[in-house]
Amino acid sequence: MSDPDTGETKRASLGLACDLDAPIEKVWRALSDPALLAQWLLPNDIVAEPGARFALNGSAADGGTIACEILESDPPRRLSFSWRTDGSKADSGEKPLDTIVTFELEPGEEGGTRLRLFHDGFVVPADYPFDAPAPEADTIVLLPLDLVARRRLRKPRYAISARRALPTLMRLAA
Amino acid sequence: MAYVYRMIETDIFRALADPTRRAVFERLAGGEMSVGALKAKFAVSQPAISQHLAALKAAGLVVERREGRFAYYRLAPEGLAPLASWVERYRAFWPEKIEKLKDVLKGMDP
Repeated sequence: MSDPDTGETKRASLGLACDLDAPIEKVWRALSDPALLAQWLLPNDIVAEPGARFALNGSAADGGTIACEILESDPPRRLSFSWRTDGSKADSGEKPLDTIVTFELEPGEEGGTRLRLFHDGFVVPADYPFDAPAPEADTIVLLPLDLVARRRLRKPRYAISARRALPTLMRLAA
Repeated sequence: MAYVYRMIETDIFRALADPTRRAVFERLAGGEMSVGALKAKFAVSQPAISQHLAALKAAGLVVERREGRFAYYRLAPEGLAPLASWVERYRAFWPEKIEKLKDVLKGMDP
């Protein structure tokens, strides 16, 4: 059976890029203010300061209560936090989730903001199909969110080395 | 046993390799749906949806429930290897959330 102990797994990340029609400070508020974050993500008690712990109250399908800790907070450009579940929903057969979510913002065209989202640390079976051939085991799957991003990235989906993900994505999106 | 498990897993990932089929599967992650309701969510014909559902069913990913002339589908409780289900769920989760973020940004004070 596929199990981290047998080496028949690999790590995967989800990545998204999109342009938001709002200035970067406004997007930062939507990420770091608990009331605003709750409006689009999940009910939470976020404090966007390094080391702060908070919880996201996800539905059972999202993993239930998600335990988070701010790993990096660099307003208004970068917010990274751990995203963990304890796997207590034993009846679902789910494994606990131990991942990291990172939001990267930069000023975009016409006063907008370019958002890049990475959700790192998924463990998948070794034969799990990436969206494009992955040259290395440590890969990131990049999923553009909308047609704008799709056009900018030219191909609907990319799978590239996580270590090279950011510069490559920036070049593609430029 | 290990070999059988791997075989099943391979079927699962083959079934999910098709983007439309994966989208159908993700949609069902939200709860049971009729074929008609599913068809309304995708720009494909009913026979095409039925074909995708048949493939998902064959891979053990979804189960069918019949009620009169209507068929309803939901995710099979043991269908997806737990390892892969998170990444599939979040693959559907984030785009939905980012669409909501866009709406929230529209409604925010400058």
